[in-house]
Amino acid sequence: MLHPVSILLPSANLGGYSARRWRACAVLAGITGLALAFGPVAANAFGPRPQPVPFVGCPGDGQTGPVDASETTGAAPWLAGDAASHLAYYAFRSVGVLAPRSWRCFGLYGSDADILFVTPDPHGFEDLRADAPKLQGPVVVIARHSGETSGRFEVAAVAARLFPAARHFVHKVIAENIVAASHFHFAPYKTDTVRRLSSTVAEFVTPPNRKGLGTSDRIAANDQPVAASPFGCPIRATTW
Amino acid sequence: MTLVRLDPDLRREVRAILTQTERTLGSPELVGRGK
Repeated sequence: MLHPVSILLPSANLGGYSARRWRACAVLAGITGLALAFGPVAANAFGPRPQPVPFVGCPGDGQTGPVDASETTGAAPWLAGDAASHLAYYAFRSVGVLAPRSWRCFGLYGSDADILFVTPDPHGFEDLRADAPKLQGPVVVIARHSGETSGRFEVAAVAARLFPAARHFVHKVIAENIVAASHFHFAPYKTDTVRRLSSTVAEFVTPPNRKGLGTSDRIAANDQPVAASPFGCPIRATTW
Repeated sequence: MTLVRLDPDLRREVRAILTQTERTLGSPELVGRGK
């Protein structure tokens, strides 16, 4: 079993969480956000005049109670380009992501996943939980699900949509008979644009006003597209 | 998985969020490889 955190956060310290190793297919994992370079040396590799991006620890709530914003700490990533002056790096437990500065953030956690929402307006546990109305406006979300806990159902659902190489893993989850087989679809949403970068890495865009992978969970469809940066399952397909 | 929906006037920021990771990784394959 592979451990993505050790490679994706080489120097960052997300409080007590950086050492946490998900013994799982941390798939569909918003590993993308964690994969940013930390420190000027790394930033120099992709552009001149790198600037530090503010680090924002986010509050949250979940399985064992509220988490204070100060519990997630870390290094500020350095980015090149004008956009760096408009962005901040928001982090919660094992996940972190770039988003516009001065936005608000809140995380949810459990044995299944760490999920971080960054939005212009403040949100809390009650309006981010799964049974609350979907988010209507601008949003950046990073989610990291474990493939070995109850997070495996979400992992399998997304893997079925995007990664044929994960077919065996998906069928194992279906065979548990905990979630109906009809929940898993072995093809992308019809109107999503999917770019598969390898057998276990993909990116996609859900177009405006369409149901797709980008709008199937907490984000409501509206007149703007939802884009997903490259993400994947850091585990060899053969071990699934 | 990172999902981004920003208003059109923040298109430049969307690009930065979506592309910086890929640049940093060098190759997206790294994500799939892990260690």
